[in-house]
Amino acid sequence: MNRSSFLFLGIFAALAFSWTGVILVNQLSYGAMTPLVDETEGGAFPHALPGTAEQGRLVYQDLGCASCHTQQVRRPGFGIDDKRGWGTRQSVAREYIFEPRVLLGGLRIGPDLRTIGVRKDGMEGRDGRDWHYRHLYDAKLTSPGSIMPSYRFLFETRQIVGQPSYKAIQSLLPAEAQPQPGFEIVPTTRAEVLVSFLMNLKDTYAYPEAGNVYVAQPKKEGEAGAQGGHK
Amino acid sequence: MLAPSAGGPPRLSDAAIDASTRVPVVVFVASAVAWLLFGTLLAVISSIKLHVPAFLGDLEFLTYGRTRGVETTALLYGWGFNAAFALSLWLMARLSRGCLLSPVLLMVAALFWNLGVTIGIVGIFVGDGSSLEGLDMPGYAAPVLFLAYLFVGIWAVQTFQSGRSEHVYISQWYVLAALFWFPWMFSLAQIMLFVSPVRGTVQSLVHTWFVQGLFYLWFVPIGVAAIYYFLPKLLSRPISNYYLSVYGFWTLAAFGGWAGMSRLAGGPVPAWVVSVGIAATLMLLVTWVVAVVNFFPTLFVGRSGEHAPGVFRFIAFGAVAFIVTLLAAVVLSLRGVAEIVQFTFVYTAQAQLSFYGFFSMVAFGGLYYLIPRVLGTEWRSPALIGFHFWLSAIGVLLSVGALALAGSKQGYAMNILPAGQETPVPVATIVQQLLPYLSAQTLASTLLLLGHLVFAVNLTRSLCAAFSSALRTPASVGYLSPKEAVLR
Repeated sequence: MNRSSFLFLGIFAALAFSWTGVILVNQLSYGAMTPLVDETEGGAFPHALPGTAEQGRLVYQDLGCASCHTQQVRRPGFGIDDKRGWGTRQSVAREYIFEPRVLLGGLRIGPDLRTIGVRKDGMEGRDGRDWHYRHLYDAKLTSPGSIMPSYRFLFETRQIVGQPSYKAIQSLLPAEAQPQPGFEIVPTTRAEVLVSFLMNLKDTYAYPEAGNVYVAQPKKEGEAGAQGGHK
Repeated sequence: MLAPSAGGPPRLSDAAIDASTRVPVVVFVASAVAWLLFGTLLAVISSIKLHVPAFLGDLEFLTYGRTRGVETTALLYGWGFNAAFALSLWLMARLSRGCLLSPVLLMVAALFWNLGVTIGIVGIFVGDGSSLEGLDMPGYAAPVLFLAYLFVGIWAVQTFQSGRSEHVYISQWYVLAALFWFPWMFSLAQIMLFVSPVRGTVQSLVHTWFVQGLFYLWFVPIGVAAIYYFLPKLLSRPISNYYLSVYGFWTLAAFGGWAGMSRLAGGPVPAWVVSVGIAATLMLLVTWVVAVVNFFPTLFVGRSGEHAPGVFRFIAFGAVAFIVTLLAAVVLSLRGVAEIVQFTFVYTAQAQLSFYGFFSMVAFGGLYYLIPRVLGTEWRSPALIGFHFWLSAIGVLLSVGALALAGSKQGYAMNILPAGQETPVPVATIVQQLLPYLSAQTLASTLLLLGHLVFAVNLTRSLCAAFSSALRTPASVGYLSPKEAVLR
C-alpha cells in the first residue's frame, strides 16, 4: 500500500459515509412506508390521487411550477405557514408516499400549494375550478399584484359550432379578454387535468405523527408560559 | 499501483504536455463558452420574466418554469462541466508530468457530453424536464452523459497514473476525489430518482444529497484545486501554510456530502438528517479556516506584484468568493436563520456567489492562463481580459447583492407577522416590493452576458489565429506523441 492507495481509500470512504447515512439508512428506515389504516374513518391514508389529477401532476412538472411554488407546509412556530392558512400542521413524510416524483420545491415566489385544494371557502366544485381557470388564464384577475405568468397557452379560443361548450370560460374573464362574437375560450385537456391536480392537493387527514411535534407558543405578557408543550 | 512512477524516462517539457492536451482542451473550452453564452442569455430572459411576467409569455416552451430549468442546466452542465473537464485534464497532465494519451478519443467524449446536455435541454423545452432543480434534465439524457463522463474521468486518472511526478500535490487530491465522487453521486441519483424511483420523501433526500454534493464535492474541489495551482504560479511564491491544506481536504471529503442536508430544515424528512446536516456544515469551518490561512496570506501579505495581472484578478476574486460563500453556507444552515431565509432569494444569491463568484471566476482565470499555453500563442486582445473581469465582477456583485437584499426582505415578510398584527402580508404584496431588486438582477445578468461575449470574442479570435498559423505550419498541428515530445 502506498500513499496514493490510502488517498483512494479515503476518497471512497468519505462519500460512502454520507451515502450510507443520508440515503441508505433512510431508505431502510422509511423507504417502504405504508399508508395508515384508520378504522374509525374507514380507510387508509393517504389516498392515491384520481387518474386525472395524476395526469395533472405531470403538467405541473413539465411547466416547472415547482420553480416558484413549494409543496411542504412548515410546522407552526417555524415560520408562519399556519397563520397564512397554508395548513395547521406540518407536512409529514407519509403524505408523499404515492407521489411518483416528490416536488417539494425550494423557492416561494408564490404561495405553498400543499393544501391549495381546501384553502378558500367556497372553493370546492365548480367555484374552485373557475377560480383556478381565471388564475391560470391571468393571475392578476384573482390575485392583484401577482407576478405569476399567464398560462393562456393552456386555453383554446375556438369558433362556436352548434351549441356553445359547457366548459367555456369567457364569462369568467373581463371585457378586454373576451373573444370575437361567435368564438369561445375553453380550457385544453392539460388545463383541466392541472386544475384537477391542484384541487386534489388537500392533506386534510390528521396523521398521528403530525401532532407529535413540539410547538413553541409565543409567551404573552403577564402569562408565565402556561401554554405550549405537546399538542 | 496508482503512484506516478519515479525515475524512468527523462522529464517532459511543459510545452510538450500542453501540446498533448491541445485537442480536448480546445474542444471542451469552446463548448463551455458556447453553453455559457446560451445559459446567460436564458438567465437574462428568466430574470426579465420575473418583473415583466408577460415577456415572451405566450410561448409555451419559454414559460418561466422551463427557461429557469434550461438556464440552470446550460450553466451547470454545459459551461461548468466542460470548463471543469478542461481544467482538470490540463491540471492533471501538468501536475503529474504526463502527456494525455490518444487525445482524439477524448474529443469524442466531449462531443457525447455536449450531445447529452443538448438532449437534456431540448427535453426541458418540450416539457420532459424533471422539475428537480439542478437535475432538471429528463432521465433519458443521463446515459449519454454518464458514458461521456466515464471517458473523461478514466483519461484523467490514467494521466495521473502514467505521469512522472514524484509528488502528489493537493490540487491532484482535489481533482482525483471530484472525478471519483461525481459519477457515484450522478448514477445513484439517476437510478433512485428516474430509473426506479424510491418512495416518498426519500427522493427529496437523494435530490438534496446530489445537488448539494454537486457543489461541495464537484465544483468546490475542482475550483479549489485550480486556486492551489494558479495562485503560487502567478505570484511566484508558495501557498502560505501549505501543510494545512490536507486538513481542509479531508474535512470537506468527510462532511461535504452531509452538509447540504441542512437545506431540508422543517421539511417532511427525518429531523435528525437535518440536524446532522447542520453539524456537518459547521464542521466545514475547518475547511474554511484552512482556506483563509492558505489563501489570504498568499494573496495579501508581502505582495510583490504578479505575472499576468488579468489572470490573477480572476483567481483572487474566486478565492475570496470561496471564503465568503463557505462562511455564508455555515450561517445560512443554522435553524434560526433558515426559518427566515428558507425558500427565499437568499439561497439564490448564495448559489450565484458560489457557482459564479467562486467557481466560474476561477475557471475564467484558469482558462485565460492555459489557453495560450495550449495553443502556443498569446491572447489576441489582452485588453479584453480586463474588460471581461470588470463586467463579470461588477455583474456578480450586483447580482448577489440584489438577490440577497430581495431574499431578506422576502424572508422577513413571508415568515414574520408584521408588528402588532395577526394577519400576514399577502404574498402578492411581498413580491411587488421585490420588483426593484429583481430589475437590478436583470441588469446584473446583462452585464454578465456582455462579459461573456467579450470572452467569446477574444477566444474566437485567438483560436482562429492559432488555426490559421497551424494550417501554415503542418508540423505543429494536433497531437505530439510523448516520444516526440521527449526528443524535442
